[in-house]
Amino acid sequence: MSSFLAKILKNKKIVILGFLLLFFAELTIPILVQGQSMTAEQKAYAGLTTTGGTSQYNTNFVIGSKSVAVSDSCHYKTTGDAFYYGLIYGVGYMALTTVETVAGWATSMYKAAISTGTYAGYACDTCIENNKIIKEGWPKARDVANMGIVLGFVFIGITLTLRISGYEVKKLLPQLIIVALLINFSLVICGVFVDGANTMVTFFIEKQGGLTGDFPAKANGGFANILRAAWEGCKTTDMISAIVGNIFYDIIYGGVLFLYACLFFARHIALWILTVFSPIAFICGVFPFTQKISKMWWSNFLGWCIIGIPGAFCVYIADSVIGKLNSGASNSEAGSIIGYLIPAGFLLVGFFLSLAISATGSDSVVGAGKWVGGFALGAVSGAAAKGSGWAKRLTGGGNGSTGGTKTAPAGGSGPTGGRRPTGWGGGTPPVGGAGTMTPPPPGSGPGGRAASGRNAPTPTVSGEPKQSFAYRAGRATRNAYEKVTGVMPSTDTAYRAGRATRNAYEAAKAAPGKAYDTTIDVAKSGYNAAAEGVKSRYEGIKEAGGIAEGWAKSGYEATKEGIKSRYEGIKEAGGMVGSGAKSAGRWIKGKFERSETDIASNIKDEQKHAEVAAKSGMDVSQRPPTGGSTPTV
Amino acid sequence: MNLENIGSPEGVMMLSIAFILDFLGFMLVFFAFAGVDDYGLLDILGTVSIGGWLLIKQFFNSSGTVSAKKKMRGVKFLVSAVTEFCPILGSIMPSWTILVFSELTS
Repeated sequence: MSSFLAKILKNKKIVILGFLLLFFAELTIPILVQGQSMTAEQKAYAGLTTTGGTSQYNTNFVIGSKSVAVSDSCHYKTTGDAFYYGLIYGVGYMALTTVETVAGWATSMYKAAISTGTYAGYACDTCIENNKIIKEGWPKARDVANMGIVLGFVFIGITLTLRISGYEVKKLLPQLIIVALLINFSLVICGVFVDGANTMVTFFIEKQGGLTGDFPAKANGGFANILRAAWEGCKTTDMISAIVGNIFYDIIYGGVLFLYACLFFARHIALWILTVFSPIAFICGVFPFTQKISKMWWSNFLGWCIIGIPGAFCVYIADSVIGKLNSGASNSEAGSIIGYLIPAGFLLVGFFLSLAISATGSDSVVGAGKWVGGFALGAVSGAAAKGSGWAKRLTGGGNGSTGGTKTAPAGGSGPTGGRRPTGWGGGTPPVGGAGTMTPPPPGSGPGGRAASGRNAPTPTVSGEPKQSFAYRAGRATRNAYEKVTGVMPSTDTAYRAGRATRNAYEAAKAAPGKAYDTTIDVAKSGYNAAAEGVKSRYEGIKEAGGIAEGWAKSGYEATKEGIKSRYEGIKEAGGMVGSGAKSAGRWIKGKFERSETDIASNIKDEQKHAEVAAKSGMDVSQRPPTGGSTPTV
Repeated sequence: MNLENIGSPEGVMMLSIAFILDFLGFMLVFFAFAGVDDYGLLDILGTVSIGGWLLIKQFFNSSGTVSAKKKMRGVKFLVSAVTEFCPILGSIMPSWTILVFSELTS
């Protein structure tokens, strides 16, 4: 026997089923007893009366939290009726009690969440006096941020001293100074946002009846009426649907209120944490490498601020809808459950709407803030630039915000145009005997152009209207290129030198004896001079090419700077987009690149010619003379 | 993977809800021997809450066309819901948390 009992007890399912049966029996047996077996005195004591042989049960009908007085006349006619209604009563009682308890917990949580501000020590989300977390956390974060300010100044100092590029130090410094002031007011700034949002949240919550949120209780009252009507009328279907509807309703409301409770609790905690870290977030907004943290902080802070507003609004709407839909509703209509389910839908949708709006809303607020800030900054800087421009105009210098006058850089000295070779060309060797041949004085030979580019005036673009500045700068670059190509030495000097050398050589061959040797010496010196001339001319060409390249580059840089300053001037003035300047820059850049290619190819050609000339100077038989008189010996 | 949305109000709330649902489901496994069951209540709550969230999120980000991303979102939700409704698998698998996390980080 004991082993059998042990086996039974080991089987948990059987034990639980046994308990349930006992519970069910506890609920149904009294009804059976009351309806069938009680004496008249007992019935009178229990509130039952007998009318025409039928028991009449006058007592409170209690299911879950619903306790309504009923006058029953149809449930105890037979034992089967009593069992059937007892079954409904028992199951309904268990299920409704459970879900109502859970919904009650959720309601309590919701009430606590929306009234967190009234708790001692946390009366305010952003008050240092009344919130222990803010009181402890914010001053420490502020001190850390102040240290960050000092480090920021050190960083800017080092960047300026070492001329480290990549950081706009001129912009960072004023921002840092402003933030150094703002971090001490970060609590107040956060308070403005949070209190603004809380004002709206409180407005909607107070509108719903003074921080109650008793949706389940309200609905339960309605369901109690439905149940009573169904019970009194012995309408089994209505009764079951009312119980099921009530269970469903409690689950939905309990769940939704639990979500709202979590939402408002999380909002308070998140706002406390974000407010504590606000000084650090402010300083992070200054430096380019920490701006991401600041953006994230602002996005989350604004999101948590505004998340309560749509949430509270939807609760307010749901509360109003419950009141309107269920005023004067029929107690016996199970369809009136809809009157409670629609507000539940409102609450559920409102919750997700709050989440979605908080994300998009914070982005919108951040975007609007940036727009307003950018507009204000642009207006201030534009006004400052215009002011300085007017000041310059009044003092006679430049044209203000257009970037002032631009002068193209000096082109440097022009190319020398090739040296004049010495000791070559038209000297007349002695004829006959031991005459001596005197080489011609330097500078008297052919070739060697005057350096027309050496003292060429530097192209300047000044005092021009700002619109045509870019074009004029480009034209100056083109002029520079043309001047450079103009001073390039021509190749016929090399041919002349070669021809003279050849003539000298032939004259020497024709001369007899010592004159021949002298002629050879003269020819040799002529050859050497020619070779030197070619070499120096080659170097001249090279030099000219280098100068031209440098000139063109500096012209391009000046153009670029001019365009940039003009573009910035237009941008700062706050109106026009510098697309024209950009396209002009592109045109000039393309022009410069083409010029550069032309110069490079020209230099190459010259080099080739020079090499050919040098070669022809060394071996004149390979290069027939093109004219000129044969020198006489 | 974009982790910025995890710390947003939406991310915190939805991840908390998904985690609680999965955690409760997982805990129920330990009491299953005693006959304790939620009768699919947690699954219904999860489907309603997380499905509703996805629906409203889609409504807010809607461009009017059925994109591949929308289809993928629907498929992922269906897979998670079906997994959750499976008797043992749904209790063990944290499919709601995975779904919300992937949605927030996508």
